[in-house]
Amino acid sequence: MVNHGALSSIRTLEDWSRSNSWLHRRDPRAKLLATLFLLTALALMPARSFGGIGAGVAAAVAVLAVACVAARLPVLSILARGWVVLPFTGLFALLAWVEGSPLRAVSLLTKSWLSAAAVVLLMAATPLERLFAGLERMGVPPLLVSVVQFVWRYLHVAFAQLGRMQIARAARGGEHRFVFATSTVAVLFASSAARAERVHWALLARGGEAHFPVLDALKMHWRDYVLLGLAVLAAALLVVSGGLR
Amino acid sequence: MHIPDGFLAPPVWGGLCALAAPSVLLAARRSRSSLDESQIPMMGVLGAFVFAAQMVNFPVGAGTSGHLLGGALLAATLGPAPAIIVMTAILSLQALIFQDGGLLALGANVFNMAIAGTLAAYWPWRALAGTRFRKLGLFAGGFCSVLVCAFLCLAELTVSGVRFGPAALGLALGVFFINAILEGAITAAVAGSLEAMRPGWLKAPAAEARPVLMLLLTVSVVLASAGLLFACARPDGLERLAGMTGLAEHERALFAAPLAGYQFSLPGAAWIGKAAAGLTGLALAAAACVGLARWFSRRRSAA
Repeated sequence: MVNHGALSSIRTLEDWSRSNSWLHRRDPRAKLLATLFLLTALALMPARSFGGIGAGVAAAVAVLAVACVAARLPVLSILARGWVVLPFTGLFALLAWVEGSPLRAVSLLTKSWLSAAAVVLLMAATPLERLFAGLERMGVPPLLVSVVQFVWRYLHVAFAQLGRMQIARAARGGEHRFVFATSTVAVLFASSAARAERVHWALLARGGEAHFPVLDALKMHWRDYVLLGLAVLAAALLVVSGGLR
Repeated sequence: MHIPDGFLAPPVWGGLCALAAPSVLLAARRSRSSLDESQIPMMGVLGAFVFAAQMVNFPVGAGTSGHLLGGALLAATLGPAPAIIVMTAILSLQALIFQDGGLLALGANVFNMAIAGTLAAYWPWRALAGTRFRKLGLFAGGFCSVLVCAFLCLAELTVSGVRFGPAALGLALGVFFINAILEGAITAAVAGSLEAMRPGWLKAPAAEARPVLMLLLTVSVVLASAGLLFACARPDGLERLAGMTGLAEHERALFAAPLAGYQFSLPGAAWIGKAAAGLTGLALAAAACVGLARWFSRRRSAA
């Protein structure tokens, strides 16, 4: 069956990103850059002792918590969502532990968790289409941005169709065999291609090109620069506190 | 194979971002010039299709199942440059929304899966599409793309100081090898039923003018990524080689200085020097391979 867990977590993120707060009102470019500063600080955080890692983690959690409060989002829920990286990270942390470097194991676990939580916070405080508009203004090729937006928009349609196809097959007593999975994917491809053609016609009918407008234009306000300044300070705090022994 | 943040050393993700960004720009420019406007919705909707297709389980016996990764299928249906753009779009969404791969590591993931993986899938398909080994071309495309991604991913992790024992590395390679065979088989099967539904979907020149070049390119990218992994996991053997050719001295001077600041996140600057010397040697070998292939194919077409 189709895994609906992923889609329901998207819906929560989507709901969160639509609320209104100081952080939500900031320019998406400023929020993206601020997140990148934090992620870089996390990556540069040295892992020399357990005390240093502990101090760095405490500082990072504090920074994320303050940002969550500024966005009026549930702190624990955002931090918990960072744990989706655990299956990948846990395996490597275990390997590092077995190889005799517990310090590296703990550092891997905490860094990847906190980085993922920072990205969750970015997405929970920024509507996706505004982030994409910001990316385009930052020089990402318009073709790539358009394709990302189409993927995002038709993701749900493709998932829903796959769900219907699988229910239909189950209702006909469908066996689970390689051949059937092959034809499911092939039919999904064919109907996606047909859908793309209809989308193209619809775009032609509106006389427009494949571009997604945003309601209000992006503008960097002095408050956005304040956010960037705060992010640089927070990044410095992370690196310094991570270096404590 | 999506690398999260926190795994790669700063020079590694920084360097791969610097490598991936212009490549994606180039791919965007190439697909802009080669496509008409109708292709943008096609690329987007097929990207959504790949997302959904990854959720379909293919039972392969013994209670296990695999799933399509889709890079090779996109390369065969859209062509290389649009496939790179679609894969980049998919990886970006996975990093942003599903936390599948990190944001800083996006450059590395795009380089491994969108750029190297797509090219490794496209070249064998293009070489064999016009021959009677058409199916084999599709299989080889899926197989090589996963193998190259896995080699690159493991190499990047190793050079960042994530250490595997020989047993763990062997196990990981074994798992990826099985995955590569699965991806090849699924790609060939799905593409086969697509051809049966409508022959126009798979795109490739009817008769490839330079099949030898395409196959040599495939072999060189697979060998280069495998060699990269070998260089990162076992720098000693390559160091001896580099010492004999006199490369090591130059490289250590070149690489030790800018990387010295990152010592805290890396096992040691000297080790990096060794690996860098090995890598440069490999890059030279790969360049020689490509050059030889070009010369060879030019001679053949002239004759």
